[in-house]
Amino acid sequence: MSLEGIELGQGYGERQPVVLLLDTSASMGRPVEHPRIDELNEALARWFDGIRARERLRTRMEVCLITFDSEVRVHDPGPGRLVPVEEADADRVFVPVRELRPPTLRAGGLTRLTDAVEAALGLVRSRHRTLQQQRVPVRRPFVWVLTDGAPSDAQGRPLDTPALADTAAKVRRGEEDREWVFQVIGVRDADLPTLRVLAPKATSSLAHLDFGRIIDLFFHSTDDSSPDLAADVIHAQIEERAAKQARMERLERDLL
Amino acid sequence: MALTVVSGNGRTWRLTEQIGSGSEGFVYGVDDTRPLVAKLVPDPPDPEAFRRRVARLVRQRREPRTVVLLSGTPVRLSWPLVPIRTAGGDPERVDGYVMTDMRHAYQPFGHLLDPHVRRALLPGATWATALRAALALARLLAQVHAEGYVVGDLKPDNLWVDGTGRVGMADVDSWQFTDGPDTFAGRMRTPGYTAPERIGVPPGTPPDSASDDFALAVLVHQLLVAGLHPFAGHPAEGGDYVSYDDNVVHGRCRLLDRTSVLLPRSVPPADLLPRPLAEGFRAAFAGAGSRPQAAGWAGLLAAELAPGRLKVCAANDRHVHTVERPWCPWCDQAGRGCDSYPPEPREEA
Repeated sequence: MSLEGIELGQGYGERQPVVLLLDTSASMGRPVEHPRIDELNEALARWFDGIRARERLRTRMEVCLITFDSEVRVHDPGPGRLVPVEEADADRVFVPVRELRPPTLRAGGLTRLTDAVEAALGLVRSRHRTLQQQRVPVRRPFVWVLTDGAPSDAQGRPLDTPALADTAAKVRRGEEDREWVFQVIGVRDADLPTLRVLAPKATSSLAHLDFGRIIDLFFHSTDDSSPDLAADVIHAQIEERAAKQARMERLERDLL
Repeated sequence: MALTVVSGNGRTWRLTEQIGSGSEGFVYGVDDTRPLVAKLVPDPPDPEAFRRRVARLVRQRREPRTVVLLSGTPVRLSWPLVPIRTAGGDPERVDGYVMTDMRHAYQPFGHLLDPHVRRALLPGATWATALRAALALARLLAQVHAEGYVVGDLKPDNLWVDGTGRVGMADVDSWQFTDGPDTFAGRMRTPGYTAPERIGVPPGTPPDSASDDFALAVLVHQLLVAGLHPFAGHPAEGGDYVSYDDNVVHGRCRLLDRTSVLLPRSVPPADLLPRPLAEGFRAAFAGAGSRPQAAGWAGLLAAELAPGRLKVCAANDRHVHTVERPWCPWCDQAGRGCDSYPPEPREEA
């Protein structure tokens, strides 16, 4: 049966929305002589430039970049800049991975992670529904969080377990309903115990891995993961893969 | 970066950049006059089993059955050549192996499946190239099966292709094989390339040549229908799309039941397939009992490449199709808004 009005325009394969939630709080500006945010900017630019060589990732994934510090901002590919989350339209902020030109990120402010997660879940749910309604073959979306800190409230106070409970429950419910897979990667001094309140089985630490390899991990594990498996199985696979990445990194350092 | 690895007899290899990463291991360039790469597998689930697997494959390279598979230029298989370990470690340990770098003779197989990438990187390829690649793949798999190997994880990422339709395979260390009394089981599988009888079975259930034959049929379909997966499409009965595997399990396939899926109008028409191939696909996707084997596919595909079986469209010489179809299927597709084999851009006078 053919259908009027659906044109994929990028081959006939599946689509998959992917959200990258990137921590741009003040801690990402450290250390002063080598700010992590510079490293992240360079890795993003290099990675999205290199994507042109990887045909399957190119055709399937559509990406939305969200940053969080004291504010939550969403990358709007139209003007090519970060806009306040209230202005973000789910059908405009996901762009084919090959077309994404990451903006230059700046570090400063608090770590409003829960607001960012709630915004991401809303956007990705809306995008997924739109594509399903348009009869586009769309795989379960992925939401990735990259952070070096701990979630805080609007005053900068660290969030405790009860304060995280609502967001954690939403994440979990969505995973059970197969709406998304939600995964957190903590780098450097990330507060892993607190992050694990948010995502108990889905928080991995890659303390020393360079950001390029971490972005590789995001996209390759999204790509390799079976859309039919339960989220917890995917979390275990990603944890294993992250551990392998970390071990390889150590091996490379030992070999140098 | 200057990573060094050592083979069993003390030969050292200098690794260059990391060029690939998978769920199992990492591939690095090797600084050598020959085209070589190294695969490193940190923390294999069972290090001793991995060591034995690599050692046996390396030894089998000299056995008659494998020599047959490795004959011809360019070599079609990226076979493990030498086990390696990282310097300074336990001398008995094996961390990976050195193999042929397929990039010197081939491009990633996916380049032929995506119309946009194909136009840029394999600009001369037509439907005839796709047929030749399908034949080369079927012949190679038939030979691999005849020698007692099972690929297990047959998918575009493990395959290579060139502009003339020659095909190569990598990731040999994930194959299933026997060596004397020992069996080395395959355990990997990939969504979209998994036979229905292997979907939902416990991890570690070994593959067999019939599950390879299913993946082959999927790949041949993708080659011949401009990248379209045979189980592509939104479920027509309503409900959400989940995955190709979900469509496989529920038999949602345009060739089996054209009312089972919703597809964009601009997909290539199903009747571009010559009748014997369409029947082959229906048999392959209807159930394991009727599934054609790789050698059967090779026969069917070779017949379609026989003299007089292909026709070049009068309107666009990039449009090649079977003589069975009186008018050009690619022109039909172009008329619906998408041309999988568009004409060369005209040069300005």
